[in-house]
Amino acid sequence: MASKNASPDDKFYKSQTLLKAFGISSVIMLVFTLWMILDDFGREWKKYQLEFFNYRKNKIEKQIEEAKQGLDEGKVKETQARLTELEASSKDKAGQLKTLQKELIKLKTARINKVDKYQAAKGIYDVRKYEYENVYGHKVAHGEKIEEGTRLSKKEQDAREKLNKEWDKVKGLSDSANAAQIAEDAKTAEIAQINLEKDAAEKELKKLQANVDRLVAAKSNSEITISKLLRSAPILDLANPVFKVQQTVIPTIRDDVFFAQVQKVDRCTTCHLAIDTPGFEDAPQPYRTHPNLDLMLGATSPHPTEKVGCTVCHSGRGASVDFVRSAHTPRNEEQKKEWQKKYGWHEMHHVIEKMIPLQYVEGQCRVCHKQTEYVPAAQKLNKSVQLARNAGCYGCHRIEGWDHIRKPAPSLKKVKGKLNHDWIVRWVRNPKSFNDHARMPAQFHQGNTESAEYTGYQEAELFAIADYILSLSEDYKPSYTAPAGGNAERGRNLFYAVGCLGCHGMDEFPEGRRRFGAAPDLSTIGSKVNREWLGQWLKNPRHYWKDTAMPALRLSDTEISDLSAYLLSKKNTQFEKLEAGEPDFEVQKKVLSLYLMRDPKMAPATTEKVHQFVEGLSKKEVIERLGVNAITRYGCYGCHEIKGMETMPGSGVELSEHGSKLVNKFDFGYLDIEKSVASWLHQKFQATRSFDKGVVKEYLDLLRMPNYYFDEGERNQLVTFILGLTAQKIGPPSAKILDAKEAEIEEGSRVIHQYNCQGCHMVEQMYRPLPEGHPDFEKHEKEKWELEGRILTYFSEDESKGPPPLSSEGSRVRSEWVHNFLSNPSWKLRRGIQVRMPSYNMKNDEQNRVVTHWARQGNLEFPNAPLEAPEISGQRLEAAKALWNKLQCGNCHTVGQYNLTQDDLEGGSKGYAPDITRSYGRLNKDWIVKLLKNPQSMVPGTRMPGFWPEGTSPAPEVLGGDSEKQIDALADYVLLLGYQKGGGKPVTMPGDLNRLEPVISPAPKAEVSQEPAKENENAEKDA
Amino acid sequence: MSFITDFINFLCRPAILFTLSCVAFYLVLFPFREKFAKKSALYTILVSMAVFILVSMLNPTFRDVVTKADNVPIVLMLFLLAFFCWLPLNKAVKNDKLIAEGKDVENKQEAKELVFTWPDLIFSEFICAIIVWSALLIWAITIRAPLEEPANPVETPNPSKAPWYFLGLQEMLVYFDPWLAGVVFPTLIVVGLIVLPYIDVNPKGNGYYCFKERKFAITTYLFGFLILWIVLIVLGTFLRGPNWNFYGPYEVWDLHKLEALRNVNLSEYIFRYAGLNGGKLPDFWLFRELVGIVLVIGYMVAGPILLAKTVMKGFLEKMGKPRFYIMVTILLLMASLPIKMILRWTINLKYIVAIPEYFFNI
Repeated sequence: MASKNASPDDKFYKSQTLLKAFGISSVIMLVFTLWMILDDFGREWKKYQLEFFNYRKNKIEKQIEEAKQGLDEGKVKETQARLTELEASSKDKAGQLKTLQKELIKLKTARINKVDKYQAAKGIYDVRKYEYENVYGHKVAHGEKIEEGTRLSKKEQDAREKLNKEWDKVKGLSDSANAAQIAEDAKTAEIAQINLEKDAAEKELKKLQANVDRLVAAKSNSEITISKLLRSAPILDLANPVFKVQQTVIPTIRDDVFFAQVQKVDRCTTCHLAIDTPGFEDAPQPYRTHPNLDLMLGATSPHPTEKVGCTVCHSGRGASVDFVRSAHTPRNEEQKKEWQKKYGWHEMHHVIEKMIPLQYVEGQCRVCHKQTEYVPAAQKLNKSVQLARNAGCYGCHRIEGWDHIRKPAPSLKKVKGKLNHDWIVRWVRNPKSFNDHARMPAQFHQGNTESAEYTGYQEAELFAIADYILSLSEDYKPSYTAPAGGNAERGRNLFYAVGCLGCHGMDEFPEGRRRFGAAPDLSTIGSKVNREWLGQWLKNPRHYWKDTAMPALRLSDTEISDLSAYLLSKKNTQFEKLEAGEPDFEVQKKVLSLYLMRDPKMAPATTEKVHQFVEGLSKKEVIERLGVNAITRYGCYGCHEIKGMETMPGSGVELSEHGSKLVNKFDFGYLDIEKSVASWLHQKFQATRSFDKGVVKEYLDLLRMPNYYFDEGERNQLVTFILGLTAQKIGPPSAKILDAKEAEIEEGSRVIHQYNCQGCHMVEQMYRPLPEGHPDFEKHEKEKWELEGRILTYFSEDESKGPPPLSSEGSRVRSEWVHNFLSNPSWKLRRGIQVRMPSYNMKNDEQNRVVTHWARQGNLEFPNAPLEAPEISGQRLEAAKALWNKLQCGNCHTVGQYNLTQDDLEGGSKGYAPDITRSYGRLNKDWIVKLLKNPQSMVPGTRMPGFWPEGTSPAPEVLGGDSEKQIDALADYVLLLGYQKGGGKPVTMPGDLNRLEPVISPAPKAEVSQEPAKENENAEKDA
Repeated sequence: MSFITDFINFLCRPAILFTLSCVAFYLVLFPFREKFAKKSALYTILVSMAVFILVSMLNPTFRDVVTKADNVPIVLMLFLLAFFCWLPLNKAVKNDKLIAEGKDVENKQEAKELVFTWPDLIFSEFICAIIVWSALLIWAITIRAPLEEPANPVETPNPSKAPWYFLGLQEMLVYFDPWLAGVVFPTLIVVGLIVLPYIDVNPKGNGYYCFKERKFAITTYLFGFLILWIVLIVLGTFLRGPNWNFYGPYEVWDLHKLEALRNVNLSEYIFRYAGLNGGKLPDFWLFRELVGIVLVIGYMVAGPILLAKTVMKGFLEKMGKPRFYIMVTILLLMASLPIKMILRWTINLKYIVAIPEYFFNI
């Protein structure tokens, strides 16, 4: 290779070799460089955009076809024919037109030249003006007094003269330019006159085809032409490519990148191109329109795209434009497999903010809507919230904003007067064995205590808890005794009719029965309480429990006897057969020793020291100590009031920001399930102790969340709820911040929910009706009674027999009336209705909140404007009277005192319409007017007919047939009747009305399957 | 299969890997140097490395670790390392033979011939640049940059690893206090490399590869580089998993793996275990740590003197006192790393001198 003596021809490497190497390596580099450009250019999203353009083009083509078919062919043809005819006829005038047009061009040229000259002169004039002002104007501005007649200096004079000269010139030119314009316009008009008919025909044709033309223009936007492709080619695409990343920047929402807060940037619309465009509802993903544009993303919705973006609700990496890297999360196993195949999907391990699976996304409403308990329109979330409330999650787990809610289960402070030891033991051991709709979760004998040793420990604790609770209990003796006897059949009818089903469940009436209702299920109550206690409880629940939410229904003695007889007949024979058994005291001592080994007071503890201590205790002391320890560990006090433990913090982990907890902070034990927060929560709800499987733990370290036997749907709801409890801090203006009025409404709502008003009334807070014709309308309506007005399930045939809807309550009633009614609801308005408004034991403050709630809801002044006498007299009064008679209002509405007949009560119309004299002081005139216009819109389901359908008057002879005036007069008249009756004041007392109560109609009979309570069905499913 | 993988996992444990490396290092440099210098040896090594890695890729854990975007270049570099260790040794062996025969070394023969800068140098360099450029392109296209989410103080990666070239230092942290492993040693490495030309008085080996003429210098340097740096990097990259626990190449990186690490200070050995002072540690740190302090001072002061009088007498004569003592100090500091490692593995020694009162531990 090498030569001995160097000369220019001698080289270490042969030139040929070097050149070859150079050639080959250059080609390789070229290939790789091209590869790099293509690799960089060929982004996934471009493919989607191209596909979308084609899809949109095809769609528009179809629309064009449809539009063409929709054209009035006859008219188009006729117009076209007319146009050709006119064109033909205009040929005759062609010569004339040509001359005219020639003249027009001349005039136009002249005008342009003149305008040009004028503009040039104007420019010079402006210069002169500036020059003059510069020498003269300065003086004046600086306060030098220039008296009239003062001679201008030479310089000033020169400037002035020049200015004037230019001014004359400009003026002349301006005039001549305008004159040219006038001449030109005249000529144009002349030509138009000749073409008048033809132009009109052309215009008409265009109008007929406007829709098609618009679509054709739209189509060209979606067409991929060569020039568009060229614009988007590599390198050339730096200027204005057709395919480009679309993004929404939301300055008011910040992403936390730990050391900085950055504006949220969502690029999702790069592929989801039609997400906020209506018309793509049936398109394949990712081109589909958002399913709920009225609520989300629509331009007129409360959440337009440019204000909220995508990831604030859906989470995920908004900045990414790659399917996998944007951290899409599949909804289920099936979708996961599909994605893996289609997109090469895999988990983005490093990404914390992964997309929330679609079925849970509604929980994210709470990220911004933190201040209200229920979020309007978020029905699924509201259902979840209601479940979380009724199941009592907040008893053990603190949830921010839920601290005020009363404990979810009964107080145990006087339990001795209600329950006995054996019952408590059997109940706590397995609540399901008593009632499969029991809300109480199963704490004992769950998956992780199956060994014989631990089963013994569980029994030991169970008995200690029962004994200890009873030993704490105050003595209780009912002071009221219902008359003996009682008819169970009558009691059953009463139970059905009077309103118990608004809160309680009963196996005989399954329509509205729910696992997690607002109050206990009473299907097996006969095996729980005794007659004395029950009678007192029905008479006055507060006697036993001061803070109970249970209202009194003002039942008569006979009613109480009947109802007691019925309720006590509801027994669970299987449960009664169960043995409570006896505790093993030795085991109880052993379990107590386990607790004491960890007791700080015993520390440092040795087995011997604890043993001696325990042996030194009396039996009572052992049970007491074990009871306290077990109750503390299991957290019974979270839901029940237990003496001495009222203010202890819940025994569970706080959930306020649980949705943001990182997945690696969850203990999955050795379970082979998907490692995501949602899947962990699902598993937890399915088998609360299952994470203990295979883990070596001491008895006291075992998981202790009880088993609620949630079903699949309930688990989904709870996961939705918890994932929505995030640490995300979004402030105004993006987050929903209540103003003073809304805050008052919310405060009242909380009282309303606390007393479960929504059990009977539609209050439209959790449920909000959708406009008819909405795609989700039917589904939404079907769920309505699961959220609100549960009792209405039993009145579905005639809602007017049930509790009235309160949707327009705010604008309907006066505040002081609401307050009085809540204090004393005994005076019925519709006396034929069997359901009773119960007497709640609300505090004055709570009543005020409810009153304020309705006043604000109805946009009323609060306190209301003073009550004034209705102004109606003379002709209006006569007219109103005439209407009253003509419309036969008196057929249903009584005027003042009237003794209802038995017929009225059994379904006659008089029993269902309020006494009209009670409108004054109760109703607002505006509301009466609205009601008269369209009764169904104000009180859905009312029997009241609408007499003015769409503004047409039923009585054209009255007040000139003007509906507005008629309604107004009638409303005033209605108020006047009450005004006169009360002698200038609202009617306050029923006076001499009879106290006839409606006859309780028989309750429907239903087959009741006496299935044995299913035991631990879910616990078997432990993974 | 599991027998083989378990065995390899066992061989890779830090102490064993380190010992085996030392043995291999000795075998390659001394008894088998000439065999290793053959081309066939290079091919055998490269091929067996490739075969080992490819076969091991059947194991999911190994595959995950090796194909991690951060680790792929490190794997490739191991092949380069093998080649660039072999090449000078190959030349050295040849030159040693030539020197023994009394002939000129290879370089000197070539140096008599002249070639032109253009095209021999510039053109070939240009071609190299193109090839390297192409390689970088293909790397950039095929292996995406392993970027992660913005740094989150509550969600730190586990294991938290330094860049690959610092993993040797990070591994040292297992054995030394941060002020030593993180501050003193890195400084000394740099300082040591800087002073090398000034303490080197051996005129031989300038401008050509050889081994026999510079046995001590080459062996010491290669020991520091290969054993105390490269092996530790390999260990840190491939064999340290979550919580900086050791994981065999085929062992799953289980976050919950536990290792019982109970390390004991020298003073605790002396007082608590041997029962000196009635089993009680003296309260005053100087008394408590006296033995350790004496040992360390002895190592650093008496060590050089002892060496000068015994095994390294010849060096002292050749180099003169200043050079010799600087060299010996650096040498002893370098040796302290393997010494400490061995002490840790054998007697769980934590610190020779432990004065937490002043944040001073050795």
